[in-house]
Amino acid sequence: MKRLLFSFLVILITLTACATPVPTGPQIHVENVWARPTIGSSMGAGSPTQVMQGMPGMSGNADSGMASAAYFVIVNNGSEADTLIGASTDVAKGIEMHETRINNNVAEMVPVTRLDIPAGGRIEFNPEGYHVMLTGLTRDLKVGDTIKLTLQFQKSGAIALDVPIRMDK
Amino acid sequence: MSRTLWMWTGIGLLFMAVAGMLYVVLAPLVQPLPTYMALPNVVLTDQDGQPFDLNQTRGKVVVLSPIYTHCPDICPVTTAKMKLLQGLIQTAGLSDQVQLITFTVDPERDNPEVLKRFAGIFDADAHNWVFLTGTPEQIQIMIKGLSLYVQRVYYIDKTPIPETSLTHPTAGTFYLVNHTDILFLVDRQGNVRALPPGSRSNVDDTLQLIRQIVRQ
Repeated sequence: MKRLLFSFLVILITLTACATPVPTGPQIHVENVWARPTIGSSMGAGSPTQVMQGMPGMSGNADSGMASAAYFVIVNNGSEADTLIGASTDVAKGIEMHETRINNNVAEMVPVTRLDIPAGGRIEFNPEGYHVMLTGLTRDLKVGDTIKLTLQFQKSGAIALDVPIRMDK
Repeated sequence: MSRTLWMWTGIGLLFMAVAGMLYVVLAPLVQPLPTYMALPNVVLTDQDGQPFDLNQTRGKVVVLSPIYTHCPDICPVTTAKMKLLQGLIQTAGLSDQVQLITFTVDPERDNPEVLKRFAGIFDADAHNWVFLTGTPEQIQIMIKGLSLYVQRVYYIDKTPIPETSLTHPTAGTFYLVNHTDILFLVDRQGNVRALPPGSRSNVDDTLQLIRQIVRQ
C-alpha cells in the first residue's frame, strides 16, 4: 500500500512539474499606434513676424514647432515583466514620456522616466493619460503621414514602429 | 367604499410620482444658471491678424476655450471637442446665435499665423469660430478676468521647473503651460453662466447648457 502511495506521489509531482510553464521572458507587442497632426518649424509664407509687425510682446517665435503626442498600447504576453525606458524619433528634437493629470480642473504633465509592463499585462497610452510627447518637430505632421518611432525596453530592446498621423477617433 | 378609497389613493400616488418625475426632468431647464463673472473687456487679435473686440459678441452666446498650441495632449482634445460642438450647434440651427472663441494663454509663441494653422488642423469653420491671441498684457487681462490658473513649466535637462522656481534665464528653453481645463459659457449680456469641463466635457451636456443660455 505504501509503495502504491509513493508511486502515486511521484507521478503527481512529475505531472505538476511538466505542467509548470517554462519562463519565456517578456513578449512585448505594441498595437493601436497613432500620433496627433501638428505644425512643424517650417512656417513658410506669411511669416508670423509679418503678421505681428507693430504688435509688441507677440514675437511669434514658432521656430521650435508645436508639440505632438504619440499613443499606443503595449501588451506583454510573456511570463516576465519588462520596462519601457525610453523612446526616439527622427522628426522631433525632443521626446519624453509624460502622464497628463487633471487636478481641480488644472491640467499638467508629469514626466515618466520608466514604466513597468507586468507579465501578462498591458499599458495603454491614451489622450489625457500616458503619452510620448514630441517637441521641436522638424516638419509638419499631417493626417495620413507616417513617422518612425522606436520604443526602448529594458529586456526586449528596441521596437521600431510606423506611426500613422491621425485625429482622435 | 373601500374600493373607491383605494382607487383614489392609487390615483394620488400616481399623480405624485408623475409630478416628481417631471420635476427631476424639467427643474434643470427652468432653474436660472448662476453668474460667475463678466467676460473681460479687451480687444484681442484674431487668426487673420485683425482686432477682435470681445464686446462685439454681445447679443450672442459665447463658448470660450483657453488653450496653447504647444500643448501636446490636453488642448488638442479640448479643441476637437469644440469642433464636435460646432457641428452640434450647426445641426441645432444655432450657428448664428453662438460664437465659439478659442484663445491662447501663451501669446509669446501663439501669434495669429500659428493659430490659423492650428485652426486648420481641426478644420474649424471661421463662420462662428475665432482663434484669438494678444499681447502678454492683454492675455493677462483674460487670465485674471476669468480667474484662470496659468503657470509655465520649463524643461531644463528634461527636468520640469515651474517658472516660479527658476533662478536663471529662460530664453529659448522649451516650456509647457499648466492651465485651467474648462470652458466658459457666456450669455448674450457678456456674463459667464456655466463652466463645463474642457477636454473631459461631454459635448451633448455642453450643448444642453448652451441651449439653456440661448433661451434665457
